[in-house]
Amino acid sequence: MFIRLEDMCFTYSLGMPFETEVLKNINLEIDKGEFIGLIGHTGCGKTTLIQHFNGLLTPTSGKIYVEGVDLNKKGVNLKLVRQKIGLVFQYPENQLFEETIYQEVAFGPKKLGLSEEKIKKRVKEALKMVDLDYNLYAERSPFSLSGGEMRRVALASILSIRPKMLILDEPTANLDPQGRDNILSEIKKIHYNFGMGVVLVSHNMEKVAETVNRLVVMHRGEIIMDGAPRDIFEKHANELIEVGLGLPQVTECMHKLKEKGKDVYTGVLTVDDAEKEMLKKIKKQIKK
Amino acid sequence: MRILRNISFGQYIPRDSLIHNLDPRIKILSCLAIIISLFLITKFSGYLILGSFVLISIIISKVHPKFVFRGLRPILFIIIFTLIIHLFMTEGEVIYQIGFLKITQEGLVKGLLISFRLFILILATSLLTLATSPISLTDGIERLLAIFKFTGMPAHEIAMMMTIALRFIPTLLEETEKIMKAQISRGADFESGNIFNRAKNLIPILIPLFVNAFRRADELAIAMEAKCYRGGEGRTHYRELKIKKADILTFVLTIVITIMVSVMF
Repeated sequence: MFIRLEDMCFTYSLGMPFETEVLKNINLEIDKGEFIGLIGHTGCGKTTLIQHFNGLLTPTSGKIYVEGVDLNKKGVNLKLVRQKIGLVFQYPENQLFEETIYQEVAFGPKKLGLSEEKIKKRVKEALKMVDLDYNLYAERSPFSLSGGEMRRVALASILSIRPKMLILDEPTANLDPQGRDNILSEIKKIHYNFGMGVVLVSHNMEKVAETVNRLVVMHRGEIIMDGAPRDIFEKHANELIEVGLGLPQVTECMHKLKEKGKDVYTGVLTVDDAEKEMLKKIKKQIKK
Repeated sequence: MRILRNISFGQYIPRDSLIHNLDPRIKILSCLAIIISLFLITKFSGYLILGSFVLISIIISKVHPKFVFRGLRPILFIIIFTLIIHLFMTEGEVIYQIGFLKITQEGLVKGLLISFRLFILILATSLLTLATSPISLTDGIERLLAIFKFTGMPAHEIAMMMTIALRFIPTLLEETEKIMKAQISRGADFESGNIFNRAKNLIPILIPLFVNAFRRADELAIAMEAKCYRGGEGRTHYRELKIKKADILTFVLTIVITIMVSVMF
């Protein structure tokens, strides 16, 4: 087990009149190389939860283990943990600060104390992972880029640390549809080509559901569902609508068809799936 | 990162109390009167009276004392430091001696008096900002500064700058925390190394912070122009400040107490 959370609770401003309980009894296990979507409403505690994964926040109670190491034991080297778990914050382009993109991406490896040669290799590799041409971009200023490009540079600056797991907080927020699709396909590539585990945090079911292999749904500081997207959409559609998260449009369409009395499988995630499913049903009817 | 959360400066706690509903001008002037008298008092009994006056005001304001006393935390070091300096550095009758260090009676008295002075000073000013919303506080300052308008003082502009500055303190703190966490996740280290390295390590925080602050200032300026903001000339207020009976009574009470305390003690 790569990350394990046991009965974890977290309260902001403990002991102050503004005290708020953000996370309640979180139990979660994440395996190496998994592709997870963490879905929940704004303010349900997603961002707070992921900040526990690399020791930025300390739980009020409960335990966190990363590769079997208890993060909150005294003397644990959190730097090592942060090297294993790459956390990309929301709007990561707001953290850029270097003069050139090369230096920006080299920041992490430099802090690891690698040799100049190795750093260069890692920067090339990281920029390639996010589809930016090293020769064209390396010497440009990160502040001269477009929003989507800046975000990719910020992503590369985490990838250059070579984490075993990548955690992305709303990586597609504020991007146009094309930028969003680009980032998502790059994340997919990173997962499938390099075997990196990915946790994708989002408040939006659309797109995320068809990308990931496992969905974890949060509501008011608790995990309410955990499983394969298809199973969740097939069995827990009503609960999802109840907590206000809704379904992807295609899935909703299939549920509506079922309501009208058509016997269709409702766990579809993409338009292609839905098309196949419907053709199957139509063929059956013709045969009859 | 915990430090950033604990700054209570400029924080406003909304409550429905006599103190909250007072005219901001009255509150500012009363606070000023208390501060002036603090520097005129020379006896403990004077501080006792003034201190209890401030404490009673805190109770009336319904603001949890925890908040008020939290404001003391950052200056606790200064208070202790001045106390120690006074204890050992004042000439006079020796009451205790450790090696070459002498504690004198005069030093003890002087040190305690100054500690009390700082203590009450912070309590009174914390109460002012805790029980006055930033908007009405700057409104009050604007109206008070308007007295000096004949000298060419841009009262409205100063007040507007203060409003904006106060408004963005929590935003910038939040952003600093976020950037810090992001850079820590990228391998930055803010906790080890000597003072030069530490200063150098702040660059990854400061540059993004400045870039974002400038961008935000630009956006705010455009938004204000889009709303036809043209400065103070001829601008009316949504909330007009009016002196009520309670304001006059409070002001008279404060002035009487502070004058009495500063003259008698």
